Amino acid sequence: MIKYYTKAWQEECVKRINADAVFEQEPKKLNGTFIFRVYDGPDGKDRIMTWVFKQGKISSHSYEAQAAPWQELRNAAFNTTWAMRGSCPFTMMASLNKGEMTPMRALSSPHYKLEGNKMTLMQLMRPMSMWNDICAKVEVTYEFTSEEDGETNVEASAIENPSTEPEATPPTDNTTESAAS
Amino acid sequence: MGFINRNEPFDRAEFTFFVPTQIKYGIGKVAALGMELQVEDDLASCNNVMIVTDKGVLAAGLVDKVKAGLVDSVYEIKAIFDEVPPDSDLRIVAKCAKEINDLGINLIIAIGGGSVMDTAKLASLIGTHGGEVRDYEGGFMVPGKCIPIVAIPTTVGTGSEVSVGAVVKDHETKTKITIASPHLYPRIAMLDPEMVATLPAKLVAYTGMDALTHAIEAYVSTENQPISEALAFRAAEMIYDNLEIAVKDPSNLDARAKLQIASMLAGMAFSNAPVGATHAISHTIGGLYGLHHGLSNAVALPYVMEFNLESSPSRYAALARAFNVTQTGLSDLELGKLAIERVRNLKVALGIPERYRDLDVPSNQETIDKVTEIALMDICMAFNPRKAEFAEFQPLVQQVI
Repeated sequence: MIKYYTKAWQEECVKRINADAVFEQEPKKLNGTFIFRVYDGPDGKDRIMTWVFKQGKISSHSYEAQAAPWQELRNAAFNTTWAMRGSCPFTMMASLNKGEMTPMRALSSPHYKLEGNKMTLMQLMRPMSMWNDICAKVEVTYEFTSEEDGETNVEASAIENPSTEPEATPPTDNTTESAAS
Repeated sequence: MGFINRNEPFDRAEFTFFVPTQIKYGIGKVAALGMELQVEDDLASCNNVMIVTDKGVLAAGLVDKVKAGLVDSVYEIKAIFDEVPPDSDLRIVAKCAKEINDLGINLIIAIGGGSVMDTAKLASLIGTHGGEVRDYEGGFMVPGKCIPIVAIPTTVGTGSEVSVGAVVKDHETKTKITIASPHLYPRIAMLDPEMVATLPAKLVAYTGMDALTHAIEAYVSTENQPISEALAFRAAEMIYDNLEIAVKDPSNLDARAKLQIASMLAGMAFSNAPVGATHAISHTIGGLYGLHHGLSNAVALPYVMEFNLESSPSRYAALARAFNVTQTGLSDLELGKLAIERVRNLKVALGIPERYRDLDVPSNQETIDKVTEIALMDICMAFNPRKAEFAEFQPLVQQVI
């Protein structure tokens, strides 16, 4: 089964979003770069996902994970050209995806940080909810110690990425694995 | 650095400000309503009119004033829907919307306070686009233009005459449903101080405190920006200067006129810099126990100001100046505390109870936990300057209750 908030999950979401006829017909089109930082995954990693929309289609996306706390990611400044950036712990994102927590409840929490023009984002609530619904229908597992199917464990990942010091260049929307769809 | 507002770094990368409502002000202005409508190109042919109001407004003769303003005009009043209760709900909206459709209404005149105006907005929405109110819950879910509304406020607090939103009660879940959309702005807000001249003192106090809450919460909102800031600050100052006078001296039309304008300014502000935790708590208490919205806000306001103070001390310090604190040499936190003290004193002067338990809201642990959990799910919490989890928010709710 696909592991939640991994590269495989994003790929499946992108495939479904770009093939969804209802989403395509939504008159308010998503445009711009949407970033999500998700901290402290079950495999001990922080993650960043980037989704770039052009007229309601995902034109590129990227994903990267590194051992938590990935300070470079956590300290990266918000780029004002992005439409939004959401940041929260993995457990909270999982609760949202499972429908155990409402977006409103998340927004009242100090653990969910939303950056960008909230009034514009409110105007995009309908297509964003549709995007969310499509992703929530992907069958996933939330419990995993490694993103890979093999037995690479959390400790091994942490050893591969031992540094917790900020790197010189903060991650951007196209640092890794960008893929035109 | 300014004496009132600190010259802090401008931390908004971008913002939008939008209020499309035309504002017409004047003492006795409703007497010329027909003429005022007919000069508007888009309203000249909207002559199938429904008046939406409540029985109190009708009994006070305020609807008669509006009817008189339409005599000898092209506007025909097809119906007067006067069934809006103080705390309107989905059933009322549905009933009003059905009448709108049955009668082919193409212009709605809402005469009343927040409950009336919000009912009119949502009935206009359902009358135009069909479905149920729940289908449009949240922000910007309304697909297009609705039947135009002329809003004539008869209270001094709601701001709904110029606001983006509408709130009604879901009578089944006993929660409040909030809908925000640019299509819910009234086409015209007609402010006539004579329409608030006979408002009972108690309602002047409740609705005036509602407007003060709008002004303060917009001023400290996470989405505040210089335009909303200017509107909110001036509104707070006008309300503080006039509310007690307007309550204690009903004949003072000047004070009531200023409150009416301040309420409108605060409405414009919070439509672009939304309100916060006071409203989240107030919506919850209102939904569960039916308290008047303004009263409910008034009770919670100083407690929430205390809760938020350290998240934005300079904002509360500036509000102290709006509340006529003239002392110098104080820190922002000290000034902020004085602002809170002024609001508490105003509450006392207006005879507003200190806590919800004084208004028969249960004060047991179960109620506190329930109110906390529901309030944390209110959209307004997204705009409060201080975020909170249950453990942090519950003590605040406990204090207020």
